Amino acid sequence: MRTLILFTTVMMLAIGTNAMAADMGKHHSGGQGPPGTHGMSTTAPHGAHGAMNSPDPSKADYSTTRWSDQRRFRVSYVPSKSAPAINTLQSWTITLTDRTGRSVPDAVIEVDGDMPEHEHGLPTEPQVRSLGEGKYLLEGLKFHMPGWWVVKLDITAAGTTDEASFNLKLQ
Amino acid sequence: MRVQRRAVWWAGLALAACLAVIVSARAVSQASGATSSSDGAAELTMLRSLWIGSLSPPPDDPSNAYDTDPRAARLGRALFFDTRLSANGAVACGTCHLPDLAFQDGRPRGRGIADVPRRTMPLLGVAHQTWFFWDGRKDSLWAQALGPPESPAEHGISRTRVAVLIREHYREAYETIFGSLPVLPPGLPEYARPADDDPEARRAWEAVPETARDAITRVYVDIGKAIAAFERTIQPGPAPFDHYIQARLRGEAGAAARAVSAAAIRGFRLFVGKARCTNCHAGPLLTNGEFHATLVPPVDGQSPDPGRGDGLPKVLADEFNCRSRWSDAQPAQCTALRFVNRDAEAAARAFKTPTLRNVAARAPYMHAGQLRTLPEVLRFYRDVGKRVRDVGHGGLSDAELVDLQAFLESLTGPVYALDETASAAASSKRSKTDPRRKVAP
Repeated sequence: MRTLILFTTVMMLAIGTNAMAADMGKHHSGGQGPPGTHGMSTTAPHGAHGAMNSPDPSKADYSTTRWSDQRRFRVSYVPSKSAPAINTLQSWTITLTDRTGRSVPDAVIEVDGDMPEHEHGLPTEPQVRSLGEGKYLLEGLKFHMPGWWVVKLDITAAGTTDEASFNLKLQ
Repeated sequence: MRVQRRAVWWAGLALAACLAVIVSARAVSQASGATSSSDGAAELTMLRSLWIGSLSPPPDDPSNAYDTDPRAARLGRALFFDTRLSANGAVACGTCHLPDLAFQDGRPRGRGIADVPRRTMPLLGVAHQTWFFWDGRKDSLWAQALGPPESPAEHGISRTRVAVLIREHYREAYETIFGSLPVLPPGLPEYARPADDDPEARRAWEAVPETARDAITRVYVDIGKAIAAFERTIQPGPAPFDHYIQARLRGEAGAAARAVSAAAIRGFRLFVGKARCTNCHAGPLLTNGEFHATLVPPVDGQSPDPGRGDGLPKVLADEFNCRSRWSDAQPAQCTALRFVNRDAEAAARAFKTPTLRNVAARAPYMHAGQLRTLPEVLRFYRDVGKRVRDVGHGGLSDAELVDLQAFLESLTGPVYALDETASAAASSKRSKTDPRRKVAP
């Protein structure tokens, strides 16, 4: 029996290395449209702050598409790596639309990240630049510890500012 | 009577055999681990992440065009052990980074020409790092290698003297790799260097014509790149715990149980679980390479060391950093500098997380050798964890600290580095498999 369990686990590893680390993939915005689709056609997720302030990371929302806190922007991202690895630089391609689903091409996005269970933020200072047509490239993300991370995007466009926070679990 | 005694003997033997089976079954059960298959899968994932088999070759350093050149590594090896590159003819890199001690010196603080304020860093797997020195004041291994020669307490020599010595003793090897040795004018003041700590040396340096200063620095930079190419070959070999992981990954419970003690396995589970050591000591080298303020007290009678608080402005302004004219990288390739965290508050009194490979063979500990033994380090982290969340380690019992120690002791393996007898033919292939030899258990 034990051999069978071991065999199964080894096979699981062989089939999907880092399956445990792929929380981002697993918790992919259930029921919502894929990143970049029409925001109004989907049910709004629980507010970002609600998820961010959750004392229990197991109950946090790990969606990669969500509304900003005041529902001014619909924000989604696609990471450069399918499972974010510890301690390597990675980037996100962010897609930004407004309430009506129109792309927002001229936003200024500032990035902050932290581990709510610790007392520190990111080991790097990421940068964001526009790729045009409501897409943005966020570069220089690095997570140097396993655990629950929150990446906050402070978005300013057309004279309005709003914040969207994404939860990540690094293994 | 005799028959009876024999019967008792056989009964005893049978009992002993039964006990042995039970004990070994328990050992196998402990070794093969977890109670459910999902726990087992999670544990295997964690084991694989720490396994030396998961260690990829060091990343290429874009700022050093010679970092994988075996000829540069051979020259770098010779320079690493050459005591002529010092003020008193008695200090080389290898004086503090001793091959027989896994390239460190076992002293609380290094000693070159004079006493150095910090602990000699281990060089195992050093080419995998992003930042160098305890405070990360350098962003490449070659830039790091150019610090100690001009430090008065370490080699106490100048780049001008180094360039002259290269011309005298290494011209052929240098020119094979880097091309013609830049012309050095006669009569150079050999103590001349752009020093902050020696006004006379700086005045002499500024009196040297700019073209000659550039020629001297060119040679100095090139030998740093050669030393880095050698240091890149300093790598850890498999430790007992790696044998345990390999057996677990292959599903060989018996071999796993034989590889390490039950205490070491319990220690591993604490290390990745309740004690949260993997928060900083993650991956096959058991370090995240980043900076953390652990609040370890300074050496008795000394003021606190600012650590990264000093290192951060230094690396940004460093004459040899990735964006400097001496780097071989395009500015866009200097990602560490481009995205560096400039938060001075986070940097204050923070020090780089060292590897835990061979840690048990490397007392004393911390950035200035403040703690003498592993039990002292473990007690320190248990206590400081009650005050600082970032380094919190849970409520650990004394027995659990003993288990953690057993795990740390199972991380000591062989050390590999480029061999001085490596043949030119074998090493001219520019392969990832540099000829290496085992230099210490």
